[in-house]
Amino acid sequence: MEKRAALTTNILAMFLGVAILISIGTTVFTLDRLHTASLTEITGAVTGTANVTITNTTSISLPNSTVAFGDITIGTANDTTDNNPLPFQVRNDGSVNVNVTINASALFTGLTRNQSSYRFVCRADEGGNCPTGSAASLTDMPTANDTLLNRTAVFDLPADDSNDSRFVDIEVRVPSDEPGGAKSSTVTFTAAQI
Amino acid sequence: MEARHRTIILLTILLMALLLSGSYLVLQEINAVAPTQIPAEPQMISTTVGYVTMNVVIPDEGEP
Repeated sequence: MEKRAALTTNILAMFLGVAILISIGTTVFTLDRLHTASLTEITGAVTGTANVTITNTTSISLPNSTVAFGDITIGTANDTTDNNPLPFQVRNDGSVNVNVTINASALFTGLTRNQSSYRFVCRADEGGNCPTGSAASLTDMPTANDTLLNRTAVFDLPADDSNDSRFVDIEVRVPSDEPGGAKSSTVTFTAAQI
Repeated sequence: MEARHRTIILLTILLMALLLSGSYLVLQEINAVAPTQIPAEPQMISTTVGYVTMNVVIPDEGEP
């Protein structure tokens, strides 16, 4: 009988020992986690945290937003490379470098029109040149009104005020079967932060 | 085994269960308030529009 009582006492002691170990272990673990987190809700200590987030701004503008060719005879071409009329001028007004892509609505309706009837090219304004990756030669204007078809006009346009604008020249070739009258195309420039 | 011993053992097991569940709950609470994630900055987009205009002229057939 005494042997059985001793065995029971040993089991009891073992359980209590395990309970104490678990208690100590979880306490240490919890305190450790609390130490790396916040103690304010437990101790009442008041601490303040100031979070400052510097937000990048992405913004472009068109100081010259209209390219007006005036009268053009069918079957002829004109462009803005001679600054007559003035080309688009794209300026980075944000705080980060951007890639500028271009898309436009259709300009002509004549059956003989093709993609080469309406083209664009990047030209230096401020800064030495159009960075590699820009439209370095006359490029067909995407006119599907689908932003997924956007083409890069100016690659890596800097935010630095002394170097933040480029010209985008436009060339038009009026199809020989284009109906006469006023024509207009809306050109959308989209800048994406690099 | 005496009844009091069984009671003590049951109480001890209950103590362990309470400690484990309590610790679990405390840790869950800490994880809920701790700043663990910084949301990724979305890519910023800016769009502006311009216009290309012209007047297409059809030459008079009678002109030389």
